[in-house]
Amino acid sequence: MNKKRYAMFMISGINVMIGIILAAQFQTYYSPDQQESRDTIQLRRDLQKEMERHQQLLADISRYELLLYQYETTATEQDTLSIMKEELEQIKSFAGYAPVRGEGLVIRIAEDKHSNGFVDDIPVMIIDEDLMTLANELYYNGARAMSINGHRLTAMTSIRNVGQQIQINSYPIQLPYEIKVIGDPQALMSAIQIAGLHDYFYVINKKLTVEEREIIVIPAYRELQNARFLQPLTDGNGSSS
Amino acid sequence: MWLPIIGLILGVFAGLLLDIRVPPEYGNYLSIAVLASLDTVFGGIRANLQQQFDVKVFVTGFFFNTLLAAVLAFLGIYLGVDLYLAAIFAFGVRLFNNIAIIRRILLSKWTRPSS
Repeated sequence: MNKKRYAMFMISGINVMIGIILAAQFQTYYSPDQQESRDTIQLRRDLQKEMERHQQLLADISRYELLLYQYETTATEQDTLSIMKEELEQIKSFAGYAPVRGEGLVIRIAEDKHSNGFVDDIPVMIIDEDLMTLANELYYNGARAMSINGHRLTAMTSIRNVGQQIQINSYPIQLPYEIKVIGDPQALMSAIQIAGLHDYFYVINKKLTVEEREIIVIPAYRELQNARFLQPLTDGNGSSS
Repeated sequence: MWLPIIGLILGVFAGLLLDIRVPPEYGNYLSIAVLASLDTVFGGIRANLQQQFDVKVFVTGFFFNTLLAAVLAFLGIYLGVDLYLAAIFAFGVRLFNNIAIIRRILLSKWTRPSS
């Protein structure tokens, strides 16, 4: 009798495991992919509703930001300096003078030898416009920071052809190009897909590989700020930080 | 007799709560694992009813059968032969056999006291 009970306990234990496996199996396969049965009007109405919600959320965000601002302004009579420093940091990272880290993509453009039927033996180069197209497409789709071969792209970055090379911020860069982007990987990935950039580079014998990374560090802009005509009011040397 | 069923329900609930999802590529392995484990449990119940139950056989059977099935499926994918069908077939047949035997034993137990 005792042995039988022991057996029952054993079977129960194994049964718990089986239950977990079954549940896992069930959850893997039972994905309720609902058939889209809404018609256009309904879809539009849903979209309208979602947009209203979006609007509301935006309003919420601005309200909270205002609140935050108020808190900061009222509570920091004496640490104005630290607030200002914080803001400076933020502006620095916006402007590209501070390294940024976050999730994003690493895009590599490398030579890809294949006969594409268009060109035979003429090596086709990537020109500045190709990289600019790529960068603009990424920025347009929510990239927050970007670097090409370690050169941070800022609002004042130049990407241009000089002779046989491309220069970024007047530094020549060579193939393979490695573009690091920080932003929502999914959005960026789909932006690249939709823009047809793979084909775009395929035609000129280059291969575009996109890799998603959890953590990407994008270096700061290395040059000094060239604010040539901007001068501090006082004579203090706090102008270049 | 009720304990195993309670265990099963508990396991299912735990699994649902844990929200484990297996990548679809590995779905094959999982289904075979389910079959193997079901086979083992029914085998265990049958052995228990026939008074032949051995815990060691039962527990090793569970893990070994599950592993073997997974290995078969894995091999099958790489050899291009659907070997996991062999596992499904074997386990399916045994499952039916075991359930039939369990049913007969239970039937005879039900009918004997009345007759």
